[in-house]
Amino acid sequence: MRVTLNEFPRLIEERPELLRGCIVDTNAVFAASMPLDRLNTWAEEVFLRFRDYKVPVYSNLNIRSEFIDLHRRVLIPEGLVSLFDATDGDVSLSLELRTQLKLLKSAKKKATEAKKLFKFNDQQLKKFRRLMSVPRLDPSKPIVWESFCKDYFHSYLSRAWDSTLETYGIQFLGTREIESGEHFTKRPSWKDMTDIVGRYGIGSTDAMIVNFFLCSKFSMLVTGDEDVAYVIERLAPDSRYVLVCEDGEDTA
Amino acid sequence: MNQSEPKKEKKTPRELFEEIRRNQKPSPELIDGLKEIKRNEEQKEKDKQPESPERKIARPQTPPDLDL
Repeated sequence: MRVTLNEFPRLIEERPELLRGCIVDTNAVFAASMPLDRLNTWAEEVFLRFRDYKVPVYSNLNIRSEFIDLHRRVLIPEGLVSLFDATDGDVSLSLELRTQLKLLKSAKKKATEAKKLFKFNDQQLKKFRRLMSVPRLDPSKPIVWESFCKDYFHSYLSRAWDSTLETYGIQFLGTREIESGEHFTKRPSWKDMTDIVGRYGIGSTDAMIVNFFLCSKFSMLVTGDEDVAYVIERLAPDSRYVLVCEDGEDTA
Repeated sequence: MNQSEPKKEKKTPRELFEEIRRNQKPSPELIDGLKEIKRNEEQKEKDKQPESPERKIARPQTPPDLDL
């Protein structure tokens, strides 16, 4: 059953089992950590509200991995546009790289105007990596792409997850916690995850999170992903809650 | 005297993000690499250009095959 943040105070009085905790999907954790995300304010409010009610929030390995990847897909184009701006009018950019960066800047501007967070797909990422990975005349010098990564996003990426966990009090559920049975009724399995993908056609990462949630004893999951909300509603319409953003628009 | 490492200041994700945006600038090694990519591109362009007529004239002619 879908619920919104406004309904949460009433719901927690009616269903005290929600105090056990909830699982937060990647896009909610990501949105809370990324000021440019459309759901940033909503996600921050969710975490603050949970803290007020002392509801523990949990994440897992899949969520962490997806979180890192989302940051990569956002921070690399951010950095490239920033690099373009820093060198614009300078003679240090090749014509091809300059043209591609100009196109990227324009695409990113359009996305921002449409209130969308600009993210690279794999093809775009590989294109820029190829353009900036030319072998150096002096092999002891770093590949340009690697210098770019170092200057523009490595240090942020390595700190973003820990900072997010610490700021919002997110706890990690690993193998040990699953085995202990404290929060789980059964072990999440590949077979169940594949079954979810097969039945509903959602992505495997989303299916892993849905399966993880359904194997847990938690009654609520927070998500900004329509696929995840839909499948939980289909699989557990009465027993589980999905906390979604009021405007219902998908984030990912 | 024991000198402990200075503790890294704890930052929220927002503060971290703002910090990275503020401090983002290309390092000298990145600029150096970008310049090299540009020089490579220019060299490739030069290599692609057809020879000028003057150079063709200046080049020593190979003797024509003698048809004996």
